[in-house]
Amino acid sequence: MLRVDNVSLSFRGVRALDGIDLSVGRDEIVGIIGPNGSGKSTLFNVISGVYRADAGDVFLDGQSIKGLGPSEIVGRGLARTFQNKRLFGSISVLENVMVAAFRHQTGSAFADVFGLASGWQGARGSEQVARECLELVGLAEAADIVARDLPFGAQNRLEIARALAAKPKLLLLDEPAAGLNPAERKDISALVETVFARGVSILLVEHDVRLVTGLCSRVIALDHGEKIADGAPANVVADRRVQEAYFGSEEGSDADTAA
Amino acid sequence: MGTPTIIIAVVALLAVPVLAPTYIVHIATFVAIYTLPVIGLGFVSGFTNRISLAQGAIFGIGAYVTGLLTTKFGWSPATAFVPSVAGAVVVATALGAPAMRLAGLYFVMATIAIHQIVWTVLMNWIDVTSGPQGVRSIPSLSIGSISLDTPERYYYAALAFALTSLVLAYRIVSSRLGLHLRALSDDELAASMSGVPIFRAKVVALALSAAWAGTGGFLYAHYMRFIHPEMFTLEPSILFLTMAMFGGYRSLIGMVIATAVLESATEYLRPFGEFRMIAYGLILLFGMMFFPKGILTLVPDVRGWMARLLSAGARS
Repeated sequence: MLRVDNVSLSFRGVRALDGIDLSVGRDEIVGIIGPNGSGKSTLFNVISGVYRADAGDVFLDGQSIKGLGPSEIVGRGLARTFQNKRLFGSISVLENVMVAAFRHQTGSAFADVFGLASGWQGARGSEQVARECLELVGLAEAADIVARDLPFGAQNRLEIARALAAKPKLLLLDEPAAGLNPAERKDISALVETVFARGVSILLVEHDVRLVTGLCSRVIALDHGEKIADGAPANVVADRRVQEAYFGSEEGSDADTAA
Repeated sequence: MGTPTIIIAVVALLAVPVLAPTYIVHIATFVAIYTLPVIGLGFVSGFTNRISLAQGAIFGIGAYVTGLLTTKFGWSPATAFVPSVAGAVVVATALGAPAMRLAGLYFVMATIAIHQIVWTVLMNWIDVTSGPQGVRSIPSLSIGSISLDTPERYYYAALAFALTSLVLAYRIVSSRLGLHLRALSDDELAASMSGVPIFRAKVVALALSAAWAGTGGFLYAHYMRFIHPEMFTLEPSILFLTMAMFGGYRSLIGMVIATAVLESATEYLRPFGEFRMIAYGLILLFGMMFFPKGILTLVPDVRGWMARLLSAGARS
């Protein structure tokens, strides 16, 4: 599904990513962990086309997507959410999701404007897709609320609904549980599993190690822009370099407190 | 707005030439004509967060294309309409699309430069544009054998264009394209990550803006019957911008009301003579300070004050 091949990126001489290799298979939830500044978000930005890697390549379904812009990459079947909640604040919750659902709407923009049947049917189809996505994340009731008035905990779920409306094969989730209380974290976990059960592969960045180990079939650890571990969640969390990255070189800390 | 409000508004607009003196009809005709470039500006400023000072020049291109085709080449105004709009769109897109890569003040500077380019061409390409002599004897619009050569008659034509353009703009804003534009003005990165082709959407907004300005210029040329490069300096650009800003770039009705209020204000401000633009400057300044999102934001404010006053009154 996704293969990141020896990707490096520097900002003004600072090496943010250093020869990263990783892959996400079909039917896999892969987690990325690492301390702040370890390159997790940068890696997401490279994969989703926000940044362009200095070296290396990114493949989606065997085809290189390096150098494509975000809107083209979405077209290839990769959608993402943002850690810092980038919603369209001035439009409704439903419209937020419809923007992404339009990707699958056929018919010309002229048909929309002049109220031709194809435009009208297309718009209704997009609305249908958007409502289904809201239903899935549990925001169906909030469809008509202006997005900026949505409670913080619901914003993550709207981000996920919007990403799903693009009907991706692979979904990148950037800290979907950040800032949530334990009950909300549980909901997000369950939601991620539901989405996965619908056949969407998932790559997930998350600080909450417990959540990552609970959800993911495989975990990758980054530190200072390098991959320091890749494997089964329990092994990665127990890995000495991972422990050092989180806690310094003292031995014996419990990884579960890393959240 | 409910259907009854719309019907009452349309009837009132239709009754203007019957009830009002010619002078007022003349101003009302200008309001109808200016509505077009102002709504056009809304596409660019409301949805791509860019302020253009070239709208007067694009308006001028619409006017010049029809002016030249009808006087030098003997085209009828009806046949000159499409080339007039197309000319405005082509020039605006060719010069403006590269500028769309700029933002903030840099975009404003680029639009001023575009304005200067257009103005310089109109003034100096004398073989084609007649330069400082201007274009004279432009025919009025006509329907069949009836020439719309009085303000009363022309008013109806301008009103028809203005209302049609308003409905079309409304349809566009509430369509897929409008939603794309609203999304990208809220968050460009999230919009592109939702599959919105950012650059193309911006260029389409620019082209729409120019089509509206070109139509306005077309109407202006056939109403004035004489055009001159000095009519298309930065002054109309600033005027249109003031109107759009005052109305609130994203509020079509707000922009129409602002156009009416400010265009008639130019008439009230006439006694100030050359200080007229200073008065405009003050209006612009206070507008920015008190209603940064347009005059219609006053409506909920006033309702809020009323509600508070009433509840305070009820308590005492």
